[in-house]
This record gives sequence, structure tokens and C-alpha cells, in this order.
Amino acid sequence: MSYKLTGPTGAAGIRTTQRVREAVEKACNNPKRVPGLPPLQVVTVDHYNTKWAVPLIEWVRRRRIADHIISRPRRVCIQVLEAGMLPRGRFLFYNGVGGAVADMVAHLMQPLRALAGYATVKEMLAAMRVVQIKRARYNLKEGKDGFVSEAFGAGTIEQDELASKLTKDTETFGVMELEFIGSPWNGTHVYIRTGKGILPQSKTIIVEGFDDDGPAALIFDIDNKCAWLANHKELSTSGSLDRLPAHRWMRTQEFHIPGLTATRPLQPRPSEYVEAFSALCDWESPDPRFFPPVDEAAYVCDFFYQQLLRDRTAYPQGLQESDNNVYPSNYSGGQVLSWLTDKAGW
Amino acid sequence: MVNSKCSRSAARLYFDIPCENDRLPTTEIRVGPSEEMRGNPRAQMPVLLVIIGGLGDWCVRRVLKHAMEFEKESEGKATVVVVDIHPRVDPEQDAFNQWVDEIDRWIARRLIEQSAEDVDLPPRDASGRTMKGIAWGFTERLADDPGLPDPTKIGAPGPERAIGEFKERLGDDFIAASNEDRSKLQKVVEPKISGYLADTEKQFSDDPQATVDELASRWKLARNIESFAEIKDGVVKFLVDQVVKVAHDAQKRLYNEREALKEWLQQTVSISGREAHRYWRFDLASTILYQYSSNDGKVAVPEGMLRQLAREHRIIVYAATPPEAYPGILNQWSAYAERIALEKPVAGLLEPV
Repeated sequence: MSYKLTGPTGAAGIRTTQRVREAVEKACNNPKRVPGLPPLQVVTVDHYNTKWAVPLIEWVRRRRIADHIISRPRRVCIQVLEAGMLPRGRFLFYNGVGGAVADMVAHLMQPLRALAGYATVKEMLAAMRVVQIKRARYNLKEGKDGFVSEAFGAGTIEQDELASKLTKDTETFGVMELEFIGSPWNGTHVYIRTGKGILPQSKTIIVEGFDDDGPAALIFDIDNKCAWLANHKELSTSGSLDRLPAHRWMRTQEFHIPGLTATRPLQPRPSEYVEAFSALCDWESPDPRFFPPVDEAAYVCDFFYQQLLRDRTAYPQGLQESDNNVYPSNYSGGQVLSWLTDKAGW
Repeated sequence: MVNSKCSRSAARLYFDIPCENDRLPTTEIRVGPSEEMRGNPRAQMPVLLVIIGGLGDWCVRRVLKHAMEFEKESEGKATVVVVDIHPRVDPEQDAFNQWVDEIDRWIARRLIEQSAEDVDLPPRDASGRTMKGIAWGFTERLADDPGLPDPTKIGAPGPERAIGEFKERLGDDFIAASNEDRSKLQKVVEPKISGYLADTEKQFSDDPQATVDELASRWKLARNIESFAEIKDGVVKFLVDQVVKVAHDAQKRLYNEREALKEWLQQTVSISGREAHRYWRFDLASTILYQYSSNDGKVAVPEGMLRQLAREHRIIVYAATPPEAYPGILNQWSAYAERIALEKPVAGLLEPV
């Protein structure tokens, strides 16, 4: 499958995963495979599944701790603002349409899947639609010396070309609104804000709903490994979830969520990849929810890719070039994101 | 290895039945022949975990440290080998010490990149919470010239020089912090917070106790402070300690972590009773896998050896490479591996044409 792009990427096209899919198929039917080996399994790794938030969400769900919120949330807000800057070493992963935004949004589908209770992200996305997308790229100074490409693939990239690639192809800030169009969350909207190079760093999931007294929310802080339930009093006195008093942040390693009786401590969790390698090297097959097969990962990739592609095609002038989409060059990452949020009308 | 009790109980997790163990459920949904293979002798075999793309950003950033931990925790049941796919800067220079030199250069480059990302982040306390701090301008200095010293460039000076250049680029404040030159740092801090100190002094003169109560936890001050000078010293010391910690963390990464990774990658491991270097290379163009032998130098790993490894080990391949390499990796390892896991597939599988 190939696409012709307009706008920022000029005449460049993007090929999807077809070549890798063919390679997987060929690998699974390799006639030279050593006799006696079990059938080859090819899976993908999403490190977000080994983050603390995903098992916590599973834990909360299976104990029905916040069913009154989770069973039918009013809306879900996910904000992942990373401090790390993009252009140092990693940018070649973020090629093509969507760039860092497509990557980050796909990661964020994992905790959302756990929250909504779907077995796979693919199933969940089949019950969702994208309402709107707003995105922006780095406003990087061009013509600086010293950039070097990874010594891989296309060879060394000229400095100007690299700066151009970064500014044109790497969408680093994005806001996205999704809506569930199937059970169990039919009509629930999901708001995502993500970006890199933003201080202070913040990774939060807020599931908003109601309890008997009015608005309530279940809040997860991914980085600080905290979660808590906020009720209408806190929501009304603080005026904003962001300004809830710090003492309400409970260490969920102890699972001391206010108003809850379940306080059994969690076992300490191993490092992300120790956990991933343990599962991969285990005799039993890895759970496809946490290690999706290539086809599923490709589906997720295509889902967001096509949405971003449509969005880009609809705005062929791109972001920084268009009068309607210019953001001031002195904006910090956080200001760019606020600017995008305003444009989305949230 | 994964806790099998967790795996079994977690099989029911999807249906919201309480689980006895709260670790990440990893294997609860059985697929393919797994159930039928109970009692299969392969289940008892040692594991050979092959990490491909070992000197790439993601591996040096996250994976290799965890791989070291995983191998150690496995108590000999798992052995990790690391396969590098970067083309050599000079393919003719193939003595092992030249391989090691290149390993060091790549690790240094990655760690410089990571340090640049971290160096101006707000310091965090032991529980990971952000602490109050001031902007030292490190990020701005780096942004002025985004290219970092790169020891992997052809003809570039070695890792030590690159690290030195990186520190110089961060400026005198960073070097002073690295050297724990506290008196110099104090002189830098005071003008940066002069406005804040003036306000605090006025507040203190109006209501000393309330001011101390308000500031004590913020700046980790003693509550029996009696003069503004003590507050000022406490605040300045707090901020100086922070920047010293930032510099120490960078030093730790650039020296201790670099040494640990280098040492681990240079080690030899025992595979099927044979000693082999942990660090291998895969030439994507010729699809030849190379090992380094102490006796014979660089040697192509023969197919027969890989077949034997597959009969004696459960080979698990983890690939953290750009997607262009995936077909080559799948082709190379599908004959021998039980599982192949691909990292970063989501954005990475989008390929420009």
C-alpha cells in the first residue's frame, strides 16, 4: 500500500508494514527451520505494558474498586508530556506521518485498553473513531552544524536535509479526541495531549465519572506511581484536577486509596525489560495482550497513520507554513500544546 | 523466569476474577501449541536471549541494563548475547580491541545524548517527585548548537575527548558542579534568586515564624532558624546541592555506566560448554553473522553451530533496530529461534519510499 502525500513531505510517499508482514510470513514458513522446534512466534513489544499503570488498572478493574466510574466514564483524559528532547539519537524511529505523536498515541492505547477491558487494542480501535486531531512539529533552527544521522540505512544525511526532515516530518506535539462508538463505553470521549521536550514532565490518566454525590474521578499518575479517587468535594474546591492537594496522592504501592478497603501491598515490580524478557523467555506463550502479534501492531499503526494522513491531506499547507496554524517561534513545548488545545476547543 | 503461579491465576484476570499475585500477568492467554507442550524436554533447556541492535539508542538507554539484571536473576538459566548491526566505521580494522574501541565510542555517544536530555530537567527526590530548582540554562546552551560531540564520526577523537567537549559545552557552571566547587556556585546562585531573597527578607522581617514555617519544608530548612541570613544560606545551599547532584548524575552515567556496559559487552559467556564473546556482529548487506574468536579473530558463525545452539537452547530473539533491518533479522533467525520480538513496531514500521 502506498500513499501520495501533499504538503510538508512534498512528493515523498510512505510505505506501510507490507514488507515486514511478508518477511514474517516467510519466516514462519522457513523450510530450513531446525526440526523439533516449536512453531515460530513473532510478536511485538510495547514497553508501556510493563509500566506500573497498566497492571494497576488491571488490578483496580478486577477488584471492581471503581466500577461506578470505570463501567461508564463520562470522559477519559490522557496527558503524556515528556521532558526528553527528540532530535538526539532517536528521530529515525519517528519517520513519516505522525512522527512522535503516532508512536506515543499508540503506546497510550495500552492503558486505555486495560481501562476499557478489551482483550486487544485492535478490538478496541474497531469500536472507536477519531473526532479531531491537532498537531505541530518542532520549530527547529535550521542550518546548525553537527547533526549526524544514525550510521545505518540511508547513510549520512546532510545537515540541512536533516534539519528539514526534523521540522517537516517529525510531529512532536499533538492533541487528539477519540470517541467510543461501541459498547461498553459507547459515546465516551477520550482526550489525549502528548508532546516531547516539555517541562515539567507529566504523565496522567484521568477517568471522569460520577458517584452518588456527583462528579468523581479515578486518577493515575504514571511517572510517580500514584493513583487516587477524587470526589465531588475535591473537584469543586480545587476547581481543577491539576490543583488537587498533594496529600491526596496516595502511594498505590500500598494501595491505600481513600475510601477503599483493599490495602494489600503490591509486590515490588521488576524493571520494565526484566519483566518483558522474563515473559518472552518463559516456556509458555507470551500473552498477546502485552506482546501483540505483528499484524495487530500493524493495524494500530495503520489506524493512526491513516487518520493523521487524512488530517495532513486536509491541511496541505502543513502547520508551520499555514497562516492558521503558525505558532510563535518563541513558544516552549508546553505553550505549543496549550495553543493546540485551544485550537481544538477543549 | 516468570512466576508460573501468577501466569495461571492471571489466566482468569480478563474475566475479572481476583488474582493471587499482583505481578504483571504475562502468559495467561494460551495460544498455539503451548498447552500441549507440557512435559516437553525443551521446557527445561537453557535460554539464549539474542538482543539485536545492542548499541542503538533504545538498547543503551533502557534494554542492556535490564538485560544484565535479567541474566543475573536467571541464575545461569539464561545467557544474553548482543548482536550489533551498525556498519563498522572501518571494516578492515577487525581485531577485537578495535571492536571494543567501537563499542566504547557508541556507548559514549549514546550516554552523551542521554545526559544532554537529562541535564536540565528539574532534580527529583528519592521518591521521584520534582524538587524546586532554578534554570541553569544547560538546555539553552545545548539548543544553541544542537549537535553533540560524536565519537562515532570518522576521524573523531575518542570518547574521553567527546565527554570533555560535552562538559565544556554546558559551561563553567556545570564544570564547577562536577568539581563540587561550591563557593563558585554560591556566587552564581545568589544573583539568580536575588528578587526572591529580597521578597523573603521582607516577609521574614514582618513575620519571622510564619515565614520559616512556610519555607522550611520547601527548602529543607531547620524550624528553629532565627535570622534571615540562615534562610538565605539554606536556600542557596539547597540549590547548589541540586546542581551538584545533576552534575554527579551525569558523571555517573558517562563514567560508571559506560564502564559497566563496556565491561559486560566485552565479557565471554559459556554457550553449550564453549566460551564465546557476548558481543557479535551481523552484516545486513551480506547477511553474515560474525563472532570474535580469541584464536581465529573475526569468524562467520557457521550454520551448523547455530543449528546446534537451537537444539541445545531455547533461542529468543529481541530486535531493537530500525525497521529496515527486520526482514533480514527474520530471515536470519527464523530457522533457529522459538520467538522473535520486534521493538518499536508502531511508528517504526512506517517506511519512506
